[in-house]
Amino acid sequence: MNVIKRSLVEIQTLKSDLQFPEFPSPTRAPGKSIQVPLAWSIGDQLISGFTLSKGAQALSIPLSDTKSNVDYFYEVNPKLSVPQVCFLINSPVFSTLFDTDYFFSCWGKGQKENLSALATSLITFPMELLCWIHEKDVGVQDLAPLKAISFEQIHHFIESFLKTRPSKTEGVQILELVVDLTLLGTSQEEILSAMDGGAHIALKNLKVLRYPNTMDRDQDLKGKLLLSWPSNIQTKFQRRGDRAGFDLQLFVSSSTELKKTVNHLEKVVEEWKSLSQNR
Amino acid sequence: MEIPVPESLIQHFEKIFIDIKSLESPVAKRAIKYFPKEKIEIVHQEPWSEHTGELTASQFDRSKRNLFLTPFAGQFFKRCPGATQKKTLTCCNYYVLNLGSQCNMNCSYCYLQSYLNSPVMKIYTNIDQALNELGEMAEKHSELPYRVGTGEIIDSLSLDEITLYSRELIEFFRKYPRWTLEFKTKSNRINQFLDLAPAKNVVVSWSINPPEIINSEEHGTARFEERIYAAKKCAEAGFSLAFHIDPIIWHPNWKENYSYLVKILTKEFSPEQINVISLGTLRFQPEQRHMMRERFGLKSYVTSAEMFSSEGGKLRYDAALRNEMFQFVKNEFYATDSRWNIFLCMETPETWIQSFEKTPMQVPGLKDFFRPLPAIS
Repeated sequence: MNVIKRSLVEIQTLKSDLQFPEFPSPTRAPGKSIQVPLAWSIGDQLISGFTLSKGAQALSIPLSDTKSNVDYFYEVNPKLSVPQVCFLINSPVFSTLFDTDYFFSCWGKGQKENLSALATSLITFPMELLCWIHEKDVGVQDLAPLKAISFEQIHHFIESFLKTRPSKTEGVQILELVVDLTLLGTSQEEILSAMDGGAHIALKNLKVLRYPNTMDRDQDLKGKLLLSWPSNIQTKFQRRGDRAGFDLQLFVSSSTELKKTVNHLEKVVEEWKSLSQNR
Repeated sequence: MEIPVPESLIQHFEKIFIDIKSLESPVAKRAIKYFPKEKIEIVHQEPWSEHTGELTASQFDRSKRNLFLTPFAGQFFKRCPGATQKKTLTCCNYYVLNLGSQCNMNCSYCYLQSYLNSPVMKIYTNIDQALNELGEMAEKHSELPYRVGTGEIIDSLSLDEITLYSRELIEFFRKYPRWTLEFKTKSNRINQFLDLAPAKNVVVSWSINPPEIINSEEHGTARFEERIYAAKKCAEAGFSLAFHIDPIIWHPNWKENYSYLVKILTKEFSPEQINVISLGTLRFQPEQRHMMRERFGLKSYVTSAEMFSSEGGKLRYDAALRNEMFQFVKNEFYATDSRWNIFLCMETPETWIQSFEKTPMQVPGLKDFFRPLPAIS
């Protein structure tokens, strides 16, 4: 690999057509001898450091051919988050600076089309949401629901979403549920009120809105918890994917006790059957 | 007899790309004869061949409007994907003969949305090689009742007026009476083979749903009445029939609508005319939901469905609802006649037992379908 010549230049002398905003926790090149500076550039294009004060300096890498530019860029920033890639590919000078296919072979392998499709809409979302996506390192596939919706349709929910302080898994699920409910025509008030609370509660409430028939069915089944189960059996309603039912925990210490429990359970079966017939 | 390519198909395609290697094939010659010159392009490689990875929604849409005629280099004859999930699903002995990929129709639930990654619809022009491959298998196992379908990753008949493959396949299967060929379709394109003497072992089957579902979810397909009419014509011409009520889709009037579907089928056809009726409920790979959402929005009975992950990884309705739907449709059939040969497609043993109170091997009319046969591909 070529040794890359670097120099420090004043950021005011650089062009800032390539939008690549700094996120709260910028990715750095781990284990590299060079410290990633607060700002840096390829040729006269500023790559990062928009909020830097006047007089700050950027590490400048000479402008080269579009493939080498990708190599240089990769050396100082081997890991990019989805919002960072989206900002880059939306910049007017992206394709003049970088070999597009080579760029996508370094970041977002096999996701070129999906990233390109997502890029235009994603950068219109508020910076707070983009920061969350960046910090949690949310992947392109996880953000797929956002391709079906515009920022205008869901901007009311972003603040509430962030207030739930979701983990990556919770957040991805909440985002998808919000997109689905919005596209289903659920009112804004209903969605917002479902998100009033922590992520765990929001997720539960949003599922009630998204799966109303199944929730009714589950509620109905939960009613069977009131059957006269033997006292040595712990009953717990559970939904496991496409199946809902009861998790039964039994404790016995003798064959007599087991027999007694089985007999009791047979009575529960009859009770259950008769309830079903009377519906 | 002159069998032209219908105007609707000519209009449907933006472009017909002909691989230079296929130029002398009968299919390419028909395309050149019937499609306008400006729609034909002779190519040395697959269009959009630089594409890698998954298709986006717009690429998938484009692939439906562009056809590539090319020879296939791989194995034509394969086991049905369901048969490879024997641990989780109870599946019949079904083999597929893939003579192309992608479909010119546009069902919201279509599994090709998560299955295909080719940016263009394909028809394989080397059917002679496919028949040679099949012939070798059939010669070795001519006494075993293998069932072969051509409608797994392409509709068996919707493009048949371009290829006329049905005619070659019917003549081929006539030589192997123990083997069964199934044309599975959502079209009504049957006239191109009805002049041939029927072969008892050729089944023409329709994937069918009530009119409300066809109208809302099965875009570009033959309407309900058109499919019934086409099936009647095939039955009159002496072909066996099958119906696949698959996917059964939950919607507010599902009972009323599926009851109507069963009423029409049982009124128009007898159990003797219908080789088999398969039932399946809506199911798809989890990743497919994103493409469906982008392509059809959420105002669809499919995209708005309440789906949950099931054993095997696919999203399905709640198991209790599936069971209720199977029971309902099955009982509607049996209320008219107990001889209907009904089975569940790609379902778990638990659902079989809940719906039929037995496994398929315990159902007299279904034993032959499910009896293990040697794997031959």
